Amino acid sequence: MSANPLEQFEVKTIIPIEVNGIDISFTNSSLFMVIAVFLSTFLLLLCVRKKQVIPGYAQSIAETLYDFINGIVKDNLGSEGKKYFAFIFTIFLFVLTGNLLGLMPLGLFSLHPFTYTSHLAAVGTLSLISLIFSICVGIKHKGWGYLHTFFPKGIPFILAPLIVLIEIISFASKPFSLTVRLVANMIVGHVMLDIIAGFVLMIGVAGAFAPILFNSCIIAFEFMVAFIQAFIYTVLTCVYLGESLHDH
Amino acid sequence: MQKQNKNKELGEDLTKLQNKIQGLKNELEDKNASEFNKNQASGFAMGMRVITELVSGPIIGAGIGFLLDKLLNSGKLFLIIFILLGGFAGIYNVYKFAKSLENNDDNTGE
Repeated sequence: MSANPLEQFEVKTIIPIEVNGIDISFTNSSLFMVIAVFLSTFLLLLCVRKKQVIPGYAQSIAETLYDFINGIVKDNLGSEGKKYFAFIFTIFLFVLTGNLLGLMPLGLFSLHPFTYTSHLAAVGTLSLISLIFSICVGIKHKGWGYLHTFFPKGIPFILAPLIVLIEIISFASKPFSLTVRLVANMIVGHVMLDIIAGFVLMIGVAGAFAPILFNSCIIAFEFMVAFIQAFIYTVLTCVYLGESLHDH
Repeated sequence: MQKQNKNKELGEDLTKLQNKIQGLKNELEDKNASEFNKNQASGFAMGMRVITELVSGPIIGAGIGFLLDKLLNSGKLFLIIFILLGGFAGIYNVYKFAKSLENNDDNTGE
């Protein structure tokens, strides 16, 4: 166990790559993203390997996941949202697998667990991608009318300079609030686990019932947080996408 | 004899109808239950949304103000203006969100 609880978030280079002076090395963060993509794809394919009308255990897990996301998309985007299901489903799986991978005891396989959803850079990029996606969708649906996002109808023209500035700030704060919510939750959970595990070492494994018990509770709680945060991230991506799809 | 047959048929039809109604009722109950759970979860999501939107407005405002100050070499002028605007934006966001909730309630109430 490391002495510094923030050491677990350190990005380490695995394969150094540099193009034109820009560092694009393959790091442990990238490694875990690749693992997450392959793992989620592999598990889902495994679940729907045998396609039956009456689903077995594995297939019903995949179907529940599908229904869950389908419900979110339908609630927030309406019937038009069907087109964007794949995008939302991908985001949900990517975030959820990232959250859960960080909680797995991968140290047993001499692979230090790394939560890429605890990094502003990784989640921020994801949020920016969904922001750009929602801008594209908005422009495609409304054309020039999309600019009304920054100046809603029915507001006196004299307020334009103030309202436009406020709307631009509130628009820019969307991906930021999405990112901070997820990142803060992940960092706090992992730091807490690390510190309390440090107590166990301080007292000695034999006598440390209280911290071990407490840590077990926290780990269960963190699994719940991993699911809820993935859900919240997905719902709010949907909400923001819905705002650029429909008029308010 | 014919009348008896007819009565029997009618009875069968009635039981079928009864079963169908019961099935639909169960379905509706299931649906309501799952909707309740979903509402609770999305209530949590909405709470988180309000908190972070209130906070992120001023932060983004400060960021924009800081960059403008650096660009125009204007001391702390834009930083102050944009932090205030960011605060407005945060509250405005929450106001818009609350309004959209109100609209949803109206729609379901009808």
